[in-house]
Amino acid sequence: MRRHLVKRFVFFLAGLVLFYAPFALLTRLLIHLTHSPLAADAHRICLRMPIEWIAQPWMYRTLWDQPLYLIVLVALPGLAFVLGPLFCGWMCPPGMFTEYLSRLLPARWQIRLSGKINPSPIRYGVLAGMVIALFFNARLSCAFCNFSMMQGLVNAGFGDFQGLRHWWSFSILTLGLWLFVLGLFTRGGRGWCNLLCPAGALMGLFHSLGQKSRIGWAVRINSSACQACGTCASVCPAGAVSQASETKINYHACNACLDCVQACPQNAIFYRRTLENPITGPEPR
Amino acid sequence: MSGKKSWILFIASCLATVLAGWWAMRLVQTSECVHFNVNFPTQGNEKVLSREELGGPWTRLPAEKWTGYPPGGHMVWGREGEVRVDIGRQGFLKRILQPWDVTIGTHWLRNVGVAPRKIGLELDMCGMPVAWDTFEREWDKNRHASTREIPPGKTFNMDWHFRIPVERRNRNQVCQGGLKIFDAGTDRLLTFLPITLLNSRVQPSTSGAVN
Repeated sequence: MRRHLVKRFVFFLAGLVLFYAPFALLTRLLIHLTHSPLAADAHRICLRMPIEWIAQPWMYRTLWDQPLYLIVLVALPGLAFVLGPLFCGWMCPPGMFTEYLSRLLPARWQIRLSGKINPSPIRYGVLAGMVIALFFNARLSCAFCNFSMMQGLVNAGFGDFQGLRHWWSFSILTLGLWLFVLGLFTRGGRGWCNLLCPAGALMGLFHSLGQKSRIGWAVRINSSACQACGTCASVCPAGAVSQASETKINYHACNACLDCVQACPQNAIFYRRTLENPITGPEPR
Repeated sequence: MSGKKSWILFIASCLATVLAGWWAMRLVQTSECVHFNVNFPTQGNEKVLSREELGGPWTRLPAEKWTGYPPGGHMVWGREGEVRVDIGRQGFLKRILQPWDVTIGTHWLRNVGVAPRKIGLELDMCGMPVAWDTFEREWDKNRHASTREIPPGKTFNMDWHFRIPVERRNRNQVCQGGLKIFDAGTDRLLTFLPITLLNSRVQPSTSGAVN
């Protein structure tokens, strides 16, 4: 399990290096390929704005003019459909940052969302609300953006404090919810991802569709080997594993971090495609 | 969780999101991080793109309502031809933590002319020191000028941050400034956009002189 967590931490660092300034290596490459005049930082791989643009036909031209957004709009949900929301579970810097941050606080001081609240209707409500809001002269893709705020924190780590000097009511609220209430003080640290991230909701939707198809990879439980010990539910940072009479995965909330796969003492959980899952008994690792 | 409860949660979070978006938009339009749209050239008799050629959000406007580009540009959010920032209408959190730090910005400094153009910018906010911030790679921060040509119909972006000095804080009309957009090659003025900074929490009768 420790090795798995170290591996995920390496991917977290890779996410920072690939998408966040001052490195933003993948973003730089895409900017080079698409001839974008804009600087490489986290804003260039935004999925929130293109989600809004879907409901604004007059913005389709912007997707064409700035194909980087189109690439993100196709690639991330596509990846979630085929392999699960690996970006969320392994590479999303703001999500992983609060996940690690939450480990600093004892569990008894933290809110436990898992088992108490079903995150799916809330996160889909946020996703739908974000699109519906456009019809009421309301927008929130940039106003409540933790992805952008994380860029400000990274910049500050490299000595550029410009992004942390200027605050607005909605950015202060975002910081308080993302970093503290739903991060540090929530067990697993993924409260923002589970409840309020529209990009995560979109990927959760595609993942839930993908895992039902013949194509999608997902976390599967071998119910005959599972002894319902609850280990998987206790390690899941997204609170996507429920433990009643049997163990169940909520694919709408699963981040595909695979912590449950590694933690299961009975080796009863796998990450695989639907039809390749005969579920006849535990498999050797 | 029952299906009924899930639907209630879904609808409640959807409504809360719309309200949050409406609140944020109201702040962005009036008082915090005010964003606006400005077109150039709008001074002189230069040939400009038609509404159809420009595309984007403008195509939403019915053709009979299109009257061309107003002198100060054309704002999608805010009043046409003028930007008004009212710090008296800031949200509670901003008012407590950073009431005197103001940000304004445009991600849509749009070339509505028919030729590609490099632009220079000049923001006058009554002598207040202004910090410039942009996502553009090709920007001369000393000359405040673009080093790339902006093609017709395409945009340039810029944010400005400044702090209102103590002596201006108790005025109703804090500052009457403006943004000038020049042709970087010829220094010819392409657009002037008036920017008014207000504090509606102070009565006009107690305000001091403008500028």
